[in-house]
Amino acid sequence: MKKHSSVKLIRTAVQIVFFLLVFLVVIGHSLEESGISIPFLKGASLHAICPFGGVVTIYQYITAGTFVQKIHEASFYLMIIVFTTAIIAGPIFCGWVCPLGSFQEWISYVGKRLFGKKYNHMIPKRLDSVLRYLRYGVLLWVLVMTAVSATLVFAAYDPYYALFNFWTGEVSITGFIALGLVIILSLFVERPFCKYACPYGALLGITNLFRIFSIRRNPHTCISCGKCDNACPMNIEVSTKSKVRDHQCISCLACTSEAACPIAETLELNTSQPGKKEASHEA
Amino acid sequence: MKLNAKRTAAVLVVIILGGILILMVSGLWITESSKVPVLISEGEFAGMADPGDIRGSYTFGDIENSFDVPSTILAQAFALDTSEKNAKDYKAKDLEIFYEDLDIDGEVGTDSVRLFVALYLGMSYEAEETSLLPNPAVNILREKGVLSDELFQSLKAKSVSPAAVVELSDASTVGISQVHSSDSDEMLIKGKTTFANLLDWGMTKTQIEEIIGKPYGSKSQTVRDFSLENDVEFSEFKDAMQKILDTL
Repeated sequence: MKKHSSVKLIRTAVQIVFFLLVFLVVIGHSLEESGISIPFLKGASLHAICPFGGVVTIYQYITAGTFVQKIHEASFYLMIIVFTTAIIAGPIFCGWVCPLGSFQEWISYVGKRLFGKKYNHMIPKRLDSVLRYLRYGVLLWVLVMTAVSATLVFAAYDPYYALFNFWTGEVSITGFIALGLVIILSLFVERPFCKYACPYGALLGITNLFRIFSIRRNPHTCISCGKCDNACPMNIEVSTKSKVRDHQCISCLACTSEAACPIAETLELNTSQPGKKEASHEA
Repeated sequence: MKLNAKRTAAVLVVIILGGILILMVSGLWITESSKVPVLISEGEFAGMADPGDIRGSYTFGDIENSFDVPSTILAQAFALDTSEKNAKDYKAKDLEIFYEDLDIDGEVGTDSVRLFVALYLGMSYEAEETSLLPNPAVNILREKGVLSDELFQSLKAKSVSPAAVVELSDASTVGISQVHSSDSDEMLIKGKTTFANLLDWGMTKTQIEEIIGKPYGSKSQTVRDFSLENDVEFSEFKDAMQKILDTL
């Protein structure tokens, strides 16, 4: 029991650190816009520290050598840094860093209280499996429209931007609607924006196909209790796979032997199958 | 080789925060525009800064540095009050807030600044359909002789009266210079007509100062008060000014 809560504790601590960091930087920026500067706090706009900004500006950078308006070098380098982490361990950014992901997760505690075991299992599986690909449509739309207009078209619909700028007067009504929907849906579904609409999650999700460290299951020691399936916020059936390649995995480690799985060294974020070394020694 | 929660957290912190730290130390962590617009690569104006690259975060001071358009001219064009805030400190994006209460189809914002700067420099610029210029901006461009009659008429038809903004909003909270809105449509000089009214109606600062013989002080001062202060017959100023207004 203790080991399970320690995983949660570590991940929550990391999430809080990054959430506060983004919040402080954006607050600093708001204050600077009003002519107030805080010592040791260098403000920046949310766009400037968003790695997805680097992604949407790639086309303009290649064709014109410039960035899309409001995007700067920092976004571009952050994109490279986050891609590096994704190649190592998949969309770890989504599960551990993204403040909007964390925000949805924190709201989910209320949903879990309200609906118990029904929480995160309310959408029919067939519909759910189709909706999961919606985010690739969003990604394509954002990339094309940004390339065509050379402006951040997604900002007007981005709940993340709305969450961290709701006091600035710069958030459009569609942004507030998107944020409101995310909050309401999070009471029924875990991470609804990540699952169905996040364009950056869609892109990072592709790294699940070739990441270096993967969630791997040892079928020899697995007792098929299904606890890993229940623990997965993204509803992935981990218990049926020897290696999780699902495009929705966010590397949160909630399913692993360190957390939900009751058998040691059976489910791990690993470069090879858990227990393989030991098994070969025994042989 | 496996990653547990502690190692995963460490990997994230080291790569992300460490990466940012390295970028900061090496001067590559840039989170705001360098305020240096891209240069036009071809055509008649090749090598000159591109007004189309003006960002909302550019101050009028930045624009002055890059395009050699005086910040005071920009402030005058967009009817901004420079008595409490220096013209150089206004940002292009401030205009969206100042003019937001105006009930019109279109907006005065960063793209309006791009349009004004381009035209001021004699360049062509394809502005967004919704972008508008305030009356003083159109008049400054006309006075500078950079507008054809056709373009002047087209800009004039779509121009915005800054006075209307002040009517619709609390003038003390916006940066628009406080223009008396009375008689704003009649273009008829009366006792309560201010210098701001004259500018709004289309007279240029130069034209006004040529008539009154020296720079005026506050734009919100009435022409009659100014004439009384300077021992000049009000009708003297009034007639000369009205003559110009009648031609506009």
